[in-house]
Amino acid sequence: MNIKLKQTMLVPYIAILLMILAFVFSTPMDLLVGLKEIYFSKSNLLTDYIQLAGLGPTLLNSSILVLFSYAIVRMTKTPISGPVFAGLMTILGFSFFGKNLLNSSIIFFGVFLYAIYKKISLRSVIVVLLFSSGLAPISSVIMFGLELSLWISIPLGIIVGIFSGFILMELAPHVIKFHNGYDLYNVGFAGGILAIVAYSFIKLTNSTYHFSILVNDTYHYQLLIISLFIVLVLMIVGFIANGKTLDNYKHILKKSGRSVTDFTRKNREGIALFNSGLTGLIVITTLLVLGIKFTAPAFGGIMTVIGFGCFGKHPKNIIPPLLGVILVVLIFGLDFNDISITLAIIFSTALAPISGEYGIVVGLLTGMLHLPIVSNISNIHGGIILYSNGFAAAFTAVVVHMIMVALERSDKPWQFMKSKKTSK
Amino acid sequence: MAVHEIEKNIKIIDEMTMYLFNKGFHKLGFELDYTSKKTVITITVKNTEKELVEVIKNEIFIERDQELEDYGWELLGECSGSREIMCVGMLVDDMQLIYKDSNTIVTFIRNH
Repeated sequence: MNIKLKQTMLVPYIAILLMILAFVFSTPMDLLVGLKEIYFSKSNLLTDYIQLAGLGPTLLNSSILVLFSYAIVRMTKTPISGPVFAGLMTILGFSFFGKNLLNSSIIFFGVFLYAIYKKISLRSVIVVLLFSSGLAPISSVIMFGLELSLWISIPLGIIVGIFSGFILMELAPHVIKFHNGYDLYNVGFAGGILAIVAYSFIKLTNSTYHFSILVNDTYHYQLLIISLFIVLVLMIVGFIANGKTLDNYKHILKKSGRSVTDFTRKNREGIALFNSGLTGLIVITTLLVLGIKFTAPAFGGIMTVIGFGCFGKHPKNIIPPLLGVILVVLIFGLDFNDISITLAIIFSTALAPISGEYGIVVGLLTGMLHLPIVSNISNIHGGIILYSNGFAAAFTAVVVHMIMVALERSDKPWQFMKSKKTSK
Repeated sequence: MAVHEIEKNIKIIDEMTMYLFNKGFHKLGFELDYTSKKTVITITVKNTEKELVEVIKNEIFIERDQELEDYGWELLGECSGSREIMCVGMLVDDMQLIYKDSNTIVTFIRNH
């Protein structure tokens, strides 16, 4: 029997699990102190909240933000479709390193303001709203990272954050044409553009801001067990909800995954959930094989991949770019445990639609191209956008896509029926 | 009414043109009826076999998706290389397919 999952897709249950674990790992007083540390940090890329405040407060921060976002989704009467699931899981993951209730709600408010200003329903802005918090550090950095007087920095951070959310709603759908939907983290690209503008102003007016990297791998086993538990639950529940069969899985594997592909359409939420779990499991296994330690950013990356398992990613299209990055790391003798390399491996899956559309070899080459691009891109946005890989992936995607278009011959158009090559 | 309403209607026509043209159907007719309540887009694919009706029925799944509409509508009609036609079904409320006098007539209804 196919169970209707679209009301939750298990997201609130995962959030509640994280909340329970938070109280297992920390005392209530430690949680409060830790949350305060998180909310008042500059939260730029990469701020590992576990290093900053401990595992318990980080789990609680993630849980609170996901439940808050889920409440907004339910308030707008939106079902948990593929993109909404991806958005919520991205929030869950990135609230381990950069998103919190304070900085995200400022951006959310900007997106809401757009809907009110344009007199459109809140439901029609919900997808961008969920991903918009990738730009949340723009507020935190201004409020707490520039060593300005709080009387100036807090109102300024709030105004800039709200304005960014407002503009992002118009920018994100517009820039999707740049990469033609081949970068699944499109809001990362849109947000990256705004981050460049903001960072340029910050550099011009303030020399005290530095973006630092904080990472802690002390909780490797705990994070590994939590992520394994989540993927296995998703796979089992998805399988049961799909009538204990994988017959229709081929429909998902056949898709290129190019934006905007919602795997939950046609009542396929069960098999989409199974796909999310399996896709996540492949990334977890890859990290383990490579001996990569689980940190907050790595955990966050895995949760994001799980989310996009309902919105474009599946085992067939993520493996080629993933292997491409690994190949470059091996060729140049780089360190897999360097956090920027780890994230490049995980988030190279943003380019999954390229391998889905053009095949394994092109997908592999795309992954190889992605690593050098992403390695240099954080210098131009100053860590103000959390989706640095998503921003970089847009450039990789546009280069590869244009090469493929250039190689395409006009006398060999795409055909779905050989008998209908020309009209009669 | 959603934002960019007129642009979205034009994009639906773009996407269908690209889709049909790439499949080898080069004789097409279009009609757009825009009112304050709804838009009706009629596309006539001339000189076809009845098989096309089934193909379109299978490839376009109609389920208006309000939350994805404002996120992905600008992609419509943009990618000539793609084999997939995904977005149109998310932007319309109803689709009617008729085969008449060797022509396939596709009608999309989009409520405002």
